[in-house]
Amino acid sequence: MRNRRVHALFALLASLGVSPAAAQEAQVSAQARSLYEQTRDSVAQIRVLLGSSDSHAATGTGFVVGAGGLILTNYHVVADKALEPNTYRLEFVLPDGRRGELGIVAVDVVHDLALVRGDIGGATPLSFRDSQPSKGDKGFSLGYPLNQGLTVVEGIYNGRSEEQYYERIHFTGAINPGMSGGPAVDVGGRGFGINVANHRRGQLVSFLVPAKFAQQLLSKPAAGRPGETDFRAEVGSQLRAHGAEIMGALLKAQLPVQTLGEFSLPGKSGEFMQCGAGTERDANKPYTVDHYRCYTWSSLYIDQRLYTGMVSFRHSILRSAELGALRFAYLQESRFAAGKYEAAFDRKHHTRYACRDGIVALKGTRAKMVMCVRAYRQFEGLYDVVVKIATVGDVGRALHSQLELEGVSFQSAMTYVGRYVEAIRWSR
Amino acid sequence: MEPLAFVEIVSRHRDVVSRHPVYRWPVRVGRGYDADVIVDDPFVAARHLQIEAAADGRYAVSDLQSLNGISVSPSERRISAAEVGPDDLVRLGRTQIRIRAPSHTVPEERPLRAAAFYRRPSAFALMAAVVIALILWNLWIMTSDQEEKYTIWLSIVPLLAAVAVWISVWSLVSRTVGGRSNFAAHGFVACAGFAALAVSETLFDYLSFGFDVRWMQYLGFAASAAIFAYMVYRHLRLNSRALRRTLAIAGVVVSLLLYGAAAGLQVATETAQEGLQRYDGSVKAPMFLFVSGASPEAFVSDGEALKRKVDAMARVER
Repeated sequence: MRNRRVHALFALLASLGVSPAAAQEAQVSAQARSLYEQTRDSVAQIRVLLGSSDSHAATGTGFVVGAGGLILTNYHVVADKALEPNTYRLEFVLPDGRRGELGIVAVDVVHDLALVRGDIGGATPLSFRDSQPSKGDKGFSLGYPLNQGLTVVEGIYNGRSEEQYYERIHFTGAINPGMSGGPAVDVGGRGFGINVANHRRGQLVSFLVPAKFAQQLLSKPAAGRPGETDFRAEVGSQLRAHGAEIMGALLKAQLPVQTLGEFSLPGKSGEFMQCGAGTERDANKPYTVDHYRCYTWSSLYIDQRLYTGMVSFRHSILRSAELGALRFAYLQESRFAAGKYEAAFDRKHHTRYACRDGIVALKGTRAKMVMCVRAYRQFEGLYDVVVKIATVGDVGRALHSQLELEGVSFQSAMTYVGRYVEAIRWSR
Repeated sequence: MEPLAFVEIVSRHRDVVSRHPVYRWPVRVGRGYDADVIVDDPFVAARHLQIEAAADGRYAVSDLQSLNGISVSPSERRISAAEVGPDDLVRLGRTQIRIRAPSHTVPEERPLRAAAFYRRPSAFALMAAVVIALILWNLWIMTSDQEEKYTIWLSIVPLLAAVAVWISVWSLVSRTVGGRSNFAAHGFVACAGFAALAVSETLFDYLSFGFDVRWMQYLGFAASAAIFAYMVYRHLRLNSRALRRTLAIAGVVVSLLLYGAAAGLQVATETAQEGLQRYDGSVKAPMFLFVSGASPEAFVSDGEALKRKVDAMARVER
């Protein structure tokens, strides 16, 4: 169900085989040097350790944001500990070698933030800017890329990322695996963002969580009982809120309609939805396919095996003047029956699919329709729903449409599916 | 001088190998040159057995104290003497003999072109052509999604090879058991069987789609198993003179084993694939769709049943 384009590479999780950071500038600027001096006591490497072992499963970065050893990092850095507190441990390591245990205080999976606490000493908390920098301003991102020690990376603030559902800062700088959770600061040393990811296909296209979400998390009273270590219930309720948010946005107004050939079809629902078109036109093949695809860039990292929270659909118009009825039907069948099997299935998170198939009467045509549903095992009230439609109307022309809703409530999914199917209209 | 009887040496397939007229009783049978009927079998004694005429057209056979003795088929129990009729086979060493009077009546001669239709090579050729046509037809339909149309035609080779192996194995069994390979008859049965299987599967596939009922697929599976059982039964009939009922049961058992194994494998595979979306993905041409279709609202509202199913699954391990 996952779309390669959509998921940015989460820095922490990339293997150590990733090529090293961009070549360092020969001259470290005076600003960068003074930043390093300022922050080396308050920016720590965060290690996720497996059980009682001393070897780390993953690393990230965190920085001091409050009294009593309060440290901010990414949720995805500490996700294993939040969901399986008995399997994993967290510890911080400072450049001078000091280290200590960490416990999770609060998480925000939607903005990928987490507050942890540890005995880190009297480091000065990093202060945040009250306003965003201006596009083109210089900034510095701090962290521990690929276990290379505390590193200062210079970059440019480039405003809000335009594609993602939740607000992210587009930062042009080399954020590498291991720097996740580190602060991005302005030339005055005040924080404006938290390193979170870089774009898989880009170069130096990196993303930061705006500092305001960190401040919101800091000002919120810690969720759950004090001393709570298992954040599954909290993550579940945040996921439900996320699902409700996405579905709310989709269901707020009438489903916009898009014309594609002889079909009126569900189209782009709003600015939060990204759409694109493509085509398969191969001179060797006796048919053509036009694709139209939309998705919300709203996938949330939950753990290594689970990204969820995206809604996407794809319409494909198959056309052939050359193929007869039987051969065109075979073409449809071979495409419609494909993609049944998801190899990346994780039984820890999902139940099996329950599916239903049948012939439905659409406006102006008939179609074979499939609906598959599966539940989340760990997060009650959340479902994945897949709908597939193949029209059976005219020889040589057909629509194949596929809708995927991840991590949403069943009710909202059914409402949306109903509107989606309603919106399909075939006009000859 | 009229012969009193004939001693016939009979092969394992009950064909007469040689026939020896008898002019006086007793007759001695053995490997020695002084025997009346000489049998070239190293397991037979120089003087092995003696035959005399008995009452009612029967013959008395007695062992002349040979090493391996005699028995009357199908029993292999050694006996010293026995009275046998014209259809009894006496076994000595690895040879069988039969004694018949000149008055023994033989069956009517067979007419020269009386072979049943399905036993004729022309029938086999016709059916083979049907199978090849069906395969080519299917392959042609499948070329709709192929860039390289010509390579797909090659996939007819393994299919035909499989049919050829199937026919050859049955013929070989026929030849071993009955002495005749019945190649054309096995070929016809196999080709007709495979053609019927292909037609039945296609038919039920289209019916399942056209009337939008999935149980038609189970019916199709049962039909295939029945066709296969009948096919095995016809092959067995060509090989064995056993009772029809026994052969029919054998056919059903073979088919149940094979189709049961196939169904079991299918279920096991689908169970192992936990991320599988298990739905019927068949799409046929519009002229084969005979229902107008449910309303989308009805289809979506049936989603509740899916929810109940997955909720139950989630509860099990939550």
